[in-house]
Amino acid sequence: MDVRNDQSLSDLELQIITPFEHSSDFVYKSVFIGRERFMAYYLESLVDLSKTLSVMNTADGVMEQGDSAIVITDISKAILQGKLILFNAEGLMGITDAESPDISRQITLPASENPLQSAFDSYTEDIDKNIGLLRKKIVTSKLVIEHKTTGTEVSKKLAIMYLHGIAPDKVVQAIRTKLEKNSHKEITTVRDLLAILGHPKFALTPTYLSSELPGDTVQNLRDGKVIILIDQFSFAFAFPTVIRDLWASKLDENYPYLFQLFIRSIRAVGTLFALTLPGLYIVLNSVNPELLRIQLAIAVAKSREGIPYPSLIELLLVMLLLEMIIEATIRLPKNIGPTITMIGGILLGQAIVQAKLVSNLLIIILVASAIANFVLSGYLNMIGIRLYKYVVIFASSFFGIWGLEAAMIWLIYYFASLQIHTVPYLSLSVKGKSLDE
Amino acid sequence: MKVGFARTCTLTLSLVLLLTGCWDTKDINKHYLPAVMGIGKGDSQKYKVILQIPIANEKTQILEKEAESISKAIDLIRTDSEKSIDLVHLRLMLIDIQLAQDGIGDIINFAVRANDISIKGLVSIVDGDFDKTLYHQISPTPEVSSYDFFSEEAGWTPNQSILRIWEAYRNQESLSEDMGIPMLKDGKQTLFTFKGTAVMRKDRLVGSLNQEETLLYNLFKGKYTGGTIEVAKNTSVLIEHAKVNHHTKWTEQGPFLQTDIQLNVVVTESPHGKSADIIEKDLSEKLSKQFDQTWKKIHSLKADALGIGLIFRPQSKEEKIKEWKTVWFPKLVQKIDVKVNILNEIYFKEKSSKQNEGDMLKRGTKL
Repeated sequence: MDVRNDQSLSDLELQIITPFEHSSDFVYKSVFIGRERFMAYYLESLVDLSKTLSVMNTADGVMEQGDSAIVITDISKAILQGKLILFNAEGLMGITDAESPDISRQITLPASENPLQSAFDSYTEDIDKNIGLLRKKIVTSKLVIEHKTTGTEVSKKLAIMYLHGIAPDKVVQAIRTKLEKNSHKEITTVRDLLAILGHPKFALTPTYLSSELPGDTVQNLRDGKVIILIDQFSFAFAFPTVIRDLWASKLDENYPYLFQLFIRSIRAVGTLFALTLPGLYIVLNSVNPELLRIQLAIAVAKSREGIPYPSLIELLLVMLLLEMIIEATIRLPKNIGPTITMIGGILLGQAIVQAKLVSNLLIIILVASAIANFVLSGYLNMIGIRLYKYVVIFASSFFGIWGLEAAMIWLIYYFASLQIHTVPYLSLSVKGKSLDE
Repeated sequence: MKVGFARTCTLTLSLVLLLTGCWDTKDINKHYLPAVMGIGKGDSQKYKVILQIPIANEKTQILEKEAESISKAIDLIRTDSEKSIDLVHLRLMLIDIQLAQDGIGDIINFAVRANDISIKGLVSIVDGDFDKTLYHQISPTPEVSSYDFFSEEAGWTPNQSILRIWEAYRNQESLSEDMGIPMLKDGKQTLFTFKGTAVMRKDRLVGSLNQEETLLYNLFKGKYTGGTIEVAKNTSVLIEHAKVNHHTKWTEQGPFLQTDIQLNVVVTESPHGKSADIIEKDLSEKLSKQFDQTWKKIHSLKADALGIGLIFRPQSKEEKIKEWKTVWFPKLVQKIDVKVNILNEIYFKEKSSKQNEGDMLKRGTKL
C-alpha cells in the first residue's frame, strides 16, 4: 500500500511515534529482511524481534497486506496488540504477526478448584489458548464462537460461545444486544462485564458461574448456557445462572446417578443448615425456648450459665471472628495459612468457651453452619449464603421463629424476582421449554 | 424516585422493629423452666403450688408458695426467685386427690387459659402424701423421669392411663364423655407408683379403677401396645392387636351397645401341655367377665369415662345428647363379647387339643 499519496513518510512516522513517546518499550529501528531495508515499529515487551526476523528470512514474503483503508489509530492498535509494523524504502507498509516473547502461562492444574476424577487441565490467561482448550473438549461444528471487542481507550477481547440449537435464542440474543449496545464501555473486572450485560448491581446470589475447568464449561454449554471468555482472565463465565447452580456442581455428572443424587441432596441440606442454624440458635435461646425439648432446654440453659452477653451479641461476636478467619486464610500464602488455621482453632475452640465468653452450644452451631456453608458448590454461592445468614439472624432475633420463617420466605421471593437474560432464576434449567412461565 | 422508595422502606422497617418488643426477650439461662407443677390444698390458703425445676447434672430445685389462686402463687414464687419463671416446658400437672374430689375444673381452666402452659402437658392425680410425692427424688433429674413415666417412647405401658390437659378440658366440657385420670403416689424404688385410674364425673372424682381394670379401659379405648394379660396360673398372653367394634341401637328402654373385641395375642408363658384352644377359651371367658365387671363399676359411678356417649352421638338428637349424662347413660345396656386369636402358630392351628406341636407341623406340611 502506498501511503505517500497524501502524506509524506516522515509525517506518518511522526504520527506513529507520537502516541508512544512516553512508552520506553516502544522501539523503531531499521532492519534487513532478505536484502531489503525496512523500518520496524514495535513494542519490545511484546515482540521478540530477532526470532521474528529469522522466521521471516526463512519463509519468504510473509508480509501481511492490510486493507486499503488503514488509518493511524489502527496502526497504534496493532502495535498495542503486539504486532510488528514494517515500512520499506518506498513507503510500503506492512503489519506482521510477530513472534512474541514467552510471557503467557502454560496450561496447569486448576488453582482455585479441586476437581475429582475428571480432566485436570485449566484455563490460562490467553483467550486463544482457552478457546483451543474448549474446542478440544467439545468436538462439534455447532459450537459458535463470536469474537467481540469492547472499550474505546482500553480494549478487551471477548469471546461469546454457545451451542447452536441448544442455547435458547432468546438468551443469546439478549446477551449479544447488551454487548453491542455497551461496546464502548471498558472491561477490567468481572463486575464491568456484569454492568455491560445489565445485571443487577446488588444481587444476593451470583448471576454468573465462573469456572476454571474447561470440563465444567462443556457441561455448561450442554446445559444451554452462554459462555463468555475474557482475554487475560483464566476463567470462563457462564450466563445465566438458575437456582440449581447453588447445589449442582458440574463435576457430579461424572459419577453414578445415585451418588450424584446423594451428593447434591447433602449440598441442598447444607444450604438450609448454613442459612438457618445461627438464626435458630437465637430463636431457641432467647425468643422461643419452648420449641426445644425439655431435656435439651435444660442442657442449653446450663451451657449458657454465666455468659455475660445476650445471645445476639454473643452470636455476632463469634460470627465476626469466624468471618475474619475465613477471610484471613483465603489469600494468605500457603506457608502461613496453617498458622492462621491453628490460631483460629484455638480461638474458636475451647479457649473462648472456657473464658465464659460464649456457650458450648454456640461453637457447635457456628462450626456446623460454617461447614454447611462450605458444602455449597462454588465460592461465590457461599458468599451469598454467608451474607444472607445475617438477615436471618436479625429477623430471628426480632421476631423469633416467625422471623426465621419470614426471612426464608423473603429469600424465595427475592429469588423469584430475579430474571437474568430472560431466564427466571427459579427455573431448574436454562433450556427449559416453558421459559417465561 | 428510587431514593424516596428506599427512605420509605427504611422508615417502615424501623417502625416495624419498634413493634417487636425484642428487648423484652430473656435468654434461656435467665429462665427457670419448671417441668412439673403440683397443685395441692394449702395449709392456710386455697392452693399450694409446688414447682419442680430441673437443673442439668444437679438436684432439682423445688419452689413452693401458697395463695388463693394458682397464678398468684406462681407470681409469689416468681417474686422470690432470682430468675424469671416460664411455664412453657411444663410437662406434668400433679393434682392433690383432695382437690380432685372437690373438682378440678378451675385448675384445668387455668391451664388452658394460661398462654405459656402447653396444653399437651399431662394431668394426673396424687393419691397419697402430696408433699412427699412432690419432694420425692430418686434420680438426679426427676423431671425427665416424670415425663418419661408417661411417655409412650419410654416408660408407658397399657396398665397406665394417660390424659393430656386439652383432653381433660374437652372431657369436662363435653356433653357425651367423662374422663379417667391416672393416679400416682411416690414409689419406693421408682419415682412413682401407679395406683390406678380416677374416674371423674364432669370435673369431680367419683371412683377409681385398679391397674387391671385400667388395662381393660385402655383396651376399650384402643391403646394396647405391649399389654400383658394373665389368664390363669402360669399362663399369660401379650396383646399384639386389638380390634373394637361397636353396634349401637336405641331401644324403648334406652340405648343399647354391643361391643365385640377381637384380640390377637401371643402366648408368652404357659404350663406344658396346655393347648392354645384352652387358653383361647379361658381368656375370652375371663376377659368377658372382667369387662363386664369393670363396665358395671363404671356404670354404677354414673361417669361415662369410656366415652360411650361419643359412639351414640352420630345417631342421637341434640336433646338426647344434652341429657346423655343424666338420663341416658344410667339407662345404657352394654354387652361385651371378647374373641381371642392366638398367633403363636399362625396358620397351623391344631384341631384337637391332644396333638403336640411336632405332629401339628407335620400335618401342616402335608396340607
